[in-house]
Amino acid sequence: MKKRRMSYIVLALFLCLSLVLAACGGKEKATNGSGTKDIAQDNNETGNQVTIEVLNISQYADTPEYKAFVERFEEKYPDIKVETISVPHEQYINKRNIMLASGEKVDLIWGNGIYQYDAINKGFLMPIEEVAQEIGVDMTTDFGSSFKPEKDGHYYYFPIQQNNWMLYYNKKVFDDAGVDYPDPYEPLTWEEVADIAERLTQTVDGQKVYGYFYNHWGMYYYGYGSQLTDGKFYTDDLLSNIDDPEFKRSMEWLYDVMNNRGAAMPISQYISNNTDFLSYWNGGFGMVVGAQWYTQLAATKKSEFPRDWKFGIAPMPVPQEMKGKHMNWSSIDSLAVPKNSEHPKEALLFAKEYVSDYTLSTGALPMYNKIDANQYYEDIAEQLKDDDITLEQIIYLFGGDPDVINVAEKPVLAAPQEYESIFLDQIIIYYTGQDELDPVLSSIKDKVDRAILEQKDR
Amino acid sequence: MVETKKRRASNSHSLERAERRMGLIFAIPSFIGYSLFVALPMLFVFVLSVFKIDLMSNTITFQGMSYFDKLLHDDDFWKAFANTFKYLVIYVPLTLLLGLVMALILHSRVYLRGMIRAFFIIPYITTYIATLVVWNVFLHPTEGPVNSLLMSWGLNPPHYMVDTRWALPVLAVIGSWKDVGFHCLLFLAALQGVPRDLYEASSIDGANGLARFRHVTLPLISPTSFFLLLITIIGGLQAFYQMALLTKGGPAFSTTTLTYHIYRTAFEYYDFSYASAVGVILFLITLVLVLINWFGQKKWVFYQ
Repeated sequence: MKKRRMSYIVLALFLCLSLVLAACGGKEKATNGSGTKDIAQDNNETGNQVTIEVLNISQYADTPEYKAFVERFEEKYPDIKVETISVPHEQYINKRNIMLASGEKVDLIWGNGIYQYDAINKGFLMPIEEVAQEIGVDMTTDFGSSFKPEKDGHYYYFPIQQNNWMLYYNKKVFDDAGVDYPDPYEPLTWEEVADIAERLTQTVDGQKVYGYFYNHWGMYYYGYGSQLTDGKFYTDDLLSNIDDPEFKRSMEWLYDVMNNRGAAMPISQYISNNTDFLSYWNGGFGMVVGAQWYTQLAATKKSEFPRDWKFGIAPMPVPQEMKGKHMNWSSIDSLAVPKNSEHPKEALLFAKEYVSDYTLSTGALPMYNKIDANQYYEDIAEQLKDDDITLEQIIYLFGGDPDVINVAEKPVLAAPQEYESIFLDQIIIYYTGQDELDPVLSSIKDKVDRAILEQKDR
Repeated sequence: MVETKKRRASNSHSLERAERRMGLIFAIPSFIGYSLFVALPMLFVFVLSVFKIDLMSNTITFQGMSYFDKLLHDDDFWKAFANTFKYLVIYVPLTLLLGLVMALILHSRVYLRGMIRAFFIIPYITTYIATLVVWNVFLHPTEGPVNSLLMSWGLNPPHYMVDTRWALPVLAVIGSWKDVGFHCLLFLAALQGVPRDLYEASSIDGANGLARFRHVTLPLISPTSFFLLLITIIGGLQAFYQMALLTKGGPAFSTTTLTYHIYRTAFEYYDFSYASAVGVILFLITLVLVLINWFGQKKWVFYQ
C-alpha cells in the first residue's frame, strides 16, 4: 500500500515536470501577424535545405505581395526555406531587442535608419561586405555613390530603399478654400506652407479641416532645422546638437502653425485621438509632408483608404534660404544580418531578391542600382493617373532627380533610439504651452547627452 | 477495548498522513509553476543586477555594485522614485477610503442594492485595456464629456494626459477606480462578519452611529483593512498599465513610475542589468513598506 502511494507521488511529480518542461522547451516562433507562417519545426534543416529566419514588420510581411515573393523565392532557391516572423511596426523594436538580447537565432532583420544604427551601436550586427561579394553584390558600388561604409570601414546593412519625401496635398481642400495648388517642381518655403495652411483651415459641415497635418515623429518638429544645418544632429564631439538655433527655428515654425494660426491639430488632441500617420487619408487635412510610402501604403490602395478627392504632389518645402532647391530627408530602410546568424549567405541572397523583386512590387524604388527604374516609374504613374499625376512628376519626386539635396532625416549616429524617444517625450511640454522652448531643448540635450555617454561606456 | 482505541488512533493518524501527502501532491504543480515563473526569475533579477550579460556574444562580466552606484546618481531614477510615491499618496488612501465607503453603502439597507453592487464591481472585472480606452475618450481634451461640460461653463480645463501637473494624479484616480471594487468586496465581507450584538451593546451604552463605527466597526474590520493596505501599497508600487497605455511615461517623464522606468530601461534602451538593479531597489522599497506596516499593525489591528 505504502509503495503504491509512493509510486503515485513519483508519477504525479514526473507528470508535472514533463508538462512544465514541455511548455518551456518548445522554441516559439509564433508570429504576431495574421498571415505569416506560424510555428517552425524545431529542426530547421532537413537534408540540405536551410531555413532562414526573417524578422520583418507586419505592414510588409503580411501583404499578399510579400507572400507571393516568398513563394517565388523558395521556388527559385529550393534549398532555402523562409520563416518570416511578422511583428506590427509599433511593437517591432521591442520584439527585435528582446529576440536579439536573448540570443534567439534570426538571420535577417528589417530596420529603418534609427533601428539599424541602434543595432550597430549595440553590437548586434555583422559586417556583410565579404558575404555580399559571395552572392555577387558589391557593397561599394551597387547602391550608388552616396551609400558609404560606417566609420570602421564596414557595411552593416543591405539597403532596401531611400525615402523620398514630398508634399502631398488634398485638391478638394484647396478647391474649397479657393487656393491655388502648389507648383509641381518649385518647392514652397515653410513660411508659404504656414500661410497656405492657415487659409485652408476651416470648418466644413461641422467638421474641422486643418490646413496642415503632421505626425508625432521627430522630423516633423526638427526636419526644417535639418535642412538648415545639413542634418547636423550631433556636435563635433558626437553629443546632441538639438539646441542649435536652426532646430529651434524649426520647432517654432510648427508651434506657430499649430498654436498661433490654429492650422494644425493641437498636440493634446493628436495624442488623445490616437492619431495615426495614415489619418491624413481621412480627407480632413490640406497638406502633409510624407515620403513615397504614403503612395505605397495609402494613395494607391483606394479599397483600404477610400476617398472622393484627388491628391497632388509637390517637392518637399524648404527654408527661405534654400528657395528653389529640391531637398529630401534621407533615411534608408534596410535588411541586416545579426551576429549570431547561422546562414548569413542565404540571408543576404534573400535580401538581394527582396530588393530586386518584392520591394519593386510594392511601389518603392530599391537603392540596388541593377534594377530598371523606368518600369518602376511607369507603374507608379499608371497607378496615380486618376489623380492627374504625370510620369515626369513621378520621376522627379520618387528618386529620379540627380540634383536632389539629401539631408539626414533623423539622428542616427549615437543613441538614436534614446534621442528620438527623449525628444518626443519632452517636446510635448513646449507644444502644450507648459514651458518655453529653450529650457525644453536644454533638458532634451542633457538627457540625450547622458544617454550617448552611457552608451559609449557600455 | 484498548485494542480498538489504539486501532482507531492508528487509522486516524494514517488518514491524516494520507491527507497531508495528497495535499502535497496537489501543491506540487503550483509549487513548480511558482518556482519557474516567479521565484527563479526573481532570483535571476538579483543576479542580473550585478552582472553585465551579453547574450549575443555570450559574455558575462561581473559589475559588482556599479549599477546601484549609477542608479543613485541617475536623475531619471529619482524622478521615477518621486513619481511612484506621488502615485501612492493618491492611490492608496483613495482606494481604501472609497472601498470602505462603497462597502458601507452596500452594507446598509440601500434601495437596489444588487444593482449598485454590480455597478461597483464592474470596473474590477472589466479588462484594463477596455477601461483605459473609455477613460481616454472620457478625458479627451476637447470632445470628452468632462471637458465639454467644463468648457460649457466657460472654464478652460486642462488637457489631462499631456499636462505634467495633471497626468499622474489622473492615472492614480483611474487606478483607484479600477481596483476599488475588489476592496469594496473584501470590506463588505468584513462588515458582514461584525457581530450584531456588539452594535446593540454599544447602543445600550449610549454610543451614536459615528462612535459605533469608530469603536466597533473599525477595530473589527482592521485585519481586513490591514490586508488591503498591504496589497494596495504593493499594487500601487507596481502600477504600470495606465502609464504604458495612456501616457507612455510622459509627458516629460511626469508619469514614469519605477515599474515603467524598469520597462523602458529594459525593453526600449535594452539595458537589462540596470533595469534589474532598479527592480531590486523596487523590491527593497516594497519590503521595507510591508515590514513597517507589519510591525506597525500591533498599534491598530485588532484580531478577535
